[in-house]
Amino acid sequence: MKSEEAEEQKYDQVEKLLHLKRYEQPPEGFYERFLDDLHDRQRVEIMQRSAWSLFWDRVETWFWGVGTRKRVYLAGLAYATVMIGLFFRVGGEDYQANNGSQGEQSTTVVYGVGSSKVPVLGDEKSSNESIVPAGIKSFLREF
Amino acid sequence: MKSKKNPQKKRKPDEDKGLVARARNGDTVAFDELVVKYTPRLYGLVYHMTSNHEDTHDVLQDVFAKAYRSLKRFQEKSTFYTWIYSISVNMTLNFLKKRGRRRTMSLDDVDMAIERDPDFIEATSKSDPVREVNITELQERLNIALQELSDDHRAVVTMFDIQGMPHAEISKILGVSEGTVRSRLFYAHRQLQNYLEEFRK
Repeated sequence: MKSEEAEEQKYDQVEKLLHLKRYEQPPEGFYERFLDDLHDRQRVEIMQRSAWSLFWDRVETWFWGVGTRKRVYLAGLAYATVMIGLFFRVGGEDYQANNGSQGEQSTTVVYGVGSSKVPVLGDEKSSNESIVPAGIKSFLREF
Repeated sequence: MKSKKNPQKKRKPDEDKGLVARARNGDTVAFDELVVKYTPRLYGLVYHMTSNHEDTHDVLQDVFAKAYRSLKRFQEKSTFYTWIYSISVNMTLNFLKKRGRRRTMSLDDVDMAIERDPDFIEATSKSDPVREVNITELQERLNIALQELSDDHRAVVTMFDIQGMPHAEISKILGVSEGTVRSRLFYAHRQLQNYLEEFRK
């Protein structure tokens, strides 16, 4: 029992000594200089970042700043935009594949969304052509 | 789900909610207020782990810089203080792993209120009456003894004995069980007893 009590006493004394470290403080002026140093560091970090990185940072800040419902709505809108874009592109490629052998009489040149082909003014071929998005053309045909 | 045995604890509202929201929206003044508010508490944690002023300054700068960059991902599942405290602990432990066993110790100033503390009076009553020398000697002995511990043991001693954090919170921050926290504390205290034996005589 005595040795246990002695051990406990030693344990308490160690704890008491450690508690005294709560009185320790940093050197004078540390906290005042700390904030200035942090500002200097943040300025340097900003200077070293690319414009794109800063822009993306602002977008992220704005995105996380809106509520959850709005985030879900925006995500849905982005998804819908991508799907519509893919729909037009795929529809255009399909139409070109199916109707590429038709005669010259009345050709409708189909341009997928994002296609680089543009009709040139005065071009014979282009006078008989109408520029219609492929997806809308096939959609209208069905009705 | 509430139960009779374990009633759901009411979480204290985060007193920093307003400041955090403003800082998240890019208000740098709000973030500065958080820095000013928590630097003293975090200083204690990092300094007692590193025992060096310059290292403490550098680590704390890294902590707040990281906190600023990560603020938009802070999900408020804990208070802001708990969140930034966890960042501080992890970054300090990583820093110590890189630093290795290099020991360049620097001593802090001491609040002279320590002279009225009964524990200090007891610790120095048998020693030289020149108190200032004893304060310095006490600091050095404690710092050397703490540096003899492993980083993980020093962390629990700093958080529990020096900063007065409860076991449950320490276990959450370190990601270990409460039992592990208690056993680390027990082992660390045994080690410190040996290191401080000469001073206590």
